[in-house]
Amino acid sequence: MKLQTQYFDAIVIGSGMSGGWAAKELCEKGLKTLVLERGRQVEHIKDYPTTNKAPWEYEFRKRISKQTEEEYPIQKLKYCFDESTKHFFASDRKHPYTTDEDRPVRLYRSFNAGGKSLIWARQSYRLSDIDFESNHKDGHGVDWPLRYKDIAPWYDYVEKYIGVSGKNEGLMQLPDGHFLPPMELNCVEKHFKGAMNEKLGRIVTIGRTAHLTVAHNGRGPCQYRNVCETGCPYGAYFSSVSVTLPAAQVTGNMTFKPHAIVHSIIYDEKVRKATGVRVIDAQTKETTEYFGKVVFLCASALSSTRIMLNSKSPGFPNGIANSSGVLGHYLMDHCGYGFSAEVEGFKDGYYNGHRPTGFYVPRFQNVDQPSPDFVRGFGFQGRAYRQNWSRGNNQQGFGGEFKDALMKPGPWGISMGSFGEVLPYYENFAQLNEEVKDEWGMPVLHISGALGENEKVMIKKMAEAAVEMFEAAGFKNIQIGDPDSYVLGHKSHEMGTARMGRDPKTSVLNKWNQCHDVPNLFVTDGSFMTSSACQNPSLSYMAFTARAADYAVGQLAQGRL
Amino acid sequence: MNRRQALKSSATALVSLGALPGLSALLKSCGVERLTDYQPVYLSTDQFDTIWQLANLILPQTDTPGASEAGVAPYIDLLFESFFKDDEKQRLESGLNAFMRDCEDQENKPFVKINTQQQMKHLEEIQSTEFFSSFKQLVLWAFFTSEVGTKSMNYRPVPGQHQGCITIDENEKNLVGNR
Ligand SMILES: Cc1cc2nc3c(=O)[nH]c(=O)nc-3n(C[C@H](O)[C@H](O)[C@H](O)COP(=O)(O)OP(=O)(O)OC[C@H]3O[C@@H](n4cnc5c(N)ncnc54)[C@H](O)[C@@H]3O)c2cc1C
Ligand code: SF4
Repeated sequence: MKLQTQYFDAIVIGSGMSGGWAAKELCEKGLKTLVLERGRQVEHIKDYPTTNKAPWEYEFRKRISKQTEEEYPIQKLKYCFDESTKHFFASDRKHPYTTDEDRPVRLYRSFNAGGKSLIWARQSYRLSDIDFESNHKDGHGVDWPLRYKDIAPWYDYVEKYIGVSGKNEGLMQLPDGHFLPPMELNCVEKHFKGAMNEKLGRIVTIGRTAHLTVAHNGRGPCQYRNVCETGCPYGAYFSSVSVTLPAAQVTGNMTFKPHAIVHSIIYDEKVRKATGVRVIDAQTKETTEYFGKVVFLCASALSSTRIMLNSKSPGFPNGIANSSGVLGHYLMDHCGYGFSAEVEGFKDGYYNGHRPTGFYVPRFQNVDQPSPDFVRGFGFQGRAYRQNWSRGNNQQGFGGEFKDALMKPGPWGISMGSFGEVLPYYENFAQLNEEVKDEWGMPVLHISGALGENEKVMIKKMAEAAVEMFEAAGFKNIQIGDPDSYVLGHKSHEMGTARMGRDPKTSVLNKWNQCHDVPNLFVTDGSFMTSSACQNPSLSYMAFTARAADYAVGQLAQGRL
Repeated sequence: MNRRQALKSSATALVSLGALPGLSALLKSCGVERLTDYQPVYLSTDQFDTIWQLANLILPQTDTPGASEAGVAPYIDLLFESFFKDDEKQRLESGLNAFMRDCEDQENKPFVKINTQQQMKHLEEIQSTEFFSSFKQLVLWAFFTSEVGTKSMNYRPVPGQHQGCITIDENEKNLVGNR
């Protein structure tokens, strides 16, 4: 006999960027909602243990110890991973996956309440119709089953609620939004912007970022500390821990279960619906079943895919809602690497405050003129800065004058990274590896990926574009990163493994993030993405999640689910 | 009397009493006179004293604090004890030993015993060696991320505001926070 407390109106799997939104929307619309989170609870403010710590308060001044390195061989490759943030990253040891030696994939994961919304870089950009139409126009991948006008109101809704600072530029490839006041470009970035505009007709704009430049909805404003990945006690950037989960909580409709690893989704062949989920307690390893009328899968693209592949039934021997066979395929990320240069002059220019964002150069290829070399496009994100004491590492000299000079701001430098669109390829995929089980007895994922021809051409052209831009601005000593250093997944934008489409034979989800095969199962993390565009994707995950929740509640009310 | 107390009192004694009979015996029984009373946990006292001296030459006290005020050498000793990986540790340590040996071969005295001018000359000569450059990087990191080093710049962990482009004069220090 099942306990009454195991029945809910809705079940949300995962409490990160998308799960937080599903929880908030479903709870606010009156559904008794169970949120299942595989990791520990993280409470706003209380669970940000390092947020006020100075570097010297760490044993090794934030540098990662030998033990940490062994525990996090992949996570440690991320720019913001150190002793001040490691507790928000999932241990690679505890959560293995396998890859092909010649087709490696990197996964960055945060297995705790809030997921990767605690450690993201907060860059928030809309996709445009150029993106939604691209698959249809150039024939790579299936057509998105919707267009910009369908999602635009939901971008509005999300931006207004979370607070995004930025500047409208009136661009076709990067739709305007509802922004709080933008942060300011610094002296060199302003020069860069001017030179780009005049000489190349390219836009440099301040990063659109989920930070509160003014107080908003009882949070913020930002104090310009730029230690956001430790958690923000001012609630001045968006995370589900500080925004959406508390909003769900106050409705009284949310039951939040940490340490609850969803193993699989229970499918009832007779009614052709998902009736609930099987959950392993992360600590006791006991299994419990929970039941709900509608299930939202928000565990991050590859984790959701793993759960779906692991949900086998006679009707779905290859994973729930996988009659098409495309589940796990068409894995995408963004591709790119780094560029830097030295900047002469601007000796009396500096900045005040640690600005938690940089500049953004929206895509400028294949916008109004087709590129002869590749389809789709790429953008750049970066910042200009005055060099600090660490420039002394590469200088000759020692002694009192040497030291005193290093205490003062050095010459300016500029650096930026490229973010290019990766096409959806069937060959980039994840499947269950039944040979390797994790400590909870779940088969791990085997993931295989590589860039295709279009990306290989594009990634080379990124260097040309960067050099052209730095030269146009008069910057010197241009350094180009190694394009071969990029590994699929490194940009932490895993997506596409349960794609949306018009045809149930070639896609998993319809335009409402609803499984073609299982109408009460919704998948709203990055796995729904039909193409990757080149913008950071999380704003889209939030907007699609809110839209899907609205649709699901409507369908439920009409007795259709 | 333990070694640490002996060193402290011997230093005072040298100043206030001059060389009294018995003092040299005391110093001798406790080993060579040291520049600092810190007892290294990983490094030998000779290695440690060399590092202490090197760090102070690289980042001496001026009107702002230097390596010794920031505890750079003891911190490096701790890094040897628990931070460096084996290969890194070995590389640095053999570099240090070679440095000490070379200096002694050339000057007939250990590095810590030659005068400052000779020390500076010696450092000038080895500036482009692998040992000196990696050691210097270590000293810079240990100093500029210490509380003393950080606070001798414009340490603003919670600026509360942001201005993108301000005008500064040549006295302006690096803006640093907790990132
Ligand atoms: C360093 C870094 C910087 C980034 N910067 C940006 C940026 O600037 N802009 C941008 O748009 N994106 C950025 N991203 C990407 C962004 O973080 C992700 O796109 C986003 O968090 C994905 O949301 P999600 O809900 O799919 O997954 P997550 O936020 O990862 O949440 C998934 C949740 O599901 C839980 N879960 C997983 N498996 C299970 C299971 N079996 N049972 C129960 N719960 C489970 C996890 O513990 C986690 O809490 C960045 C990512 C990283 C790592
Ligand atoms: S920079 Fe702003 S958002 Fe980031 S931690 Fe500081 S106050 Fe919070």
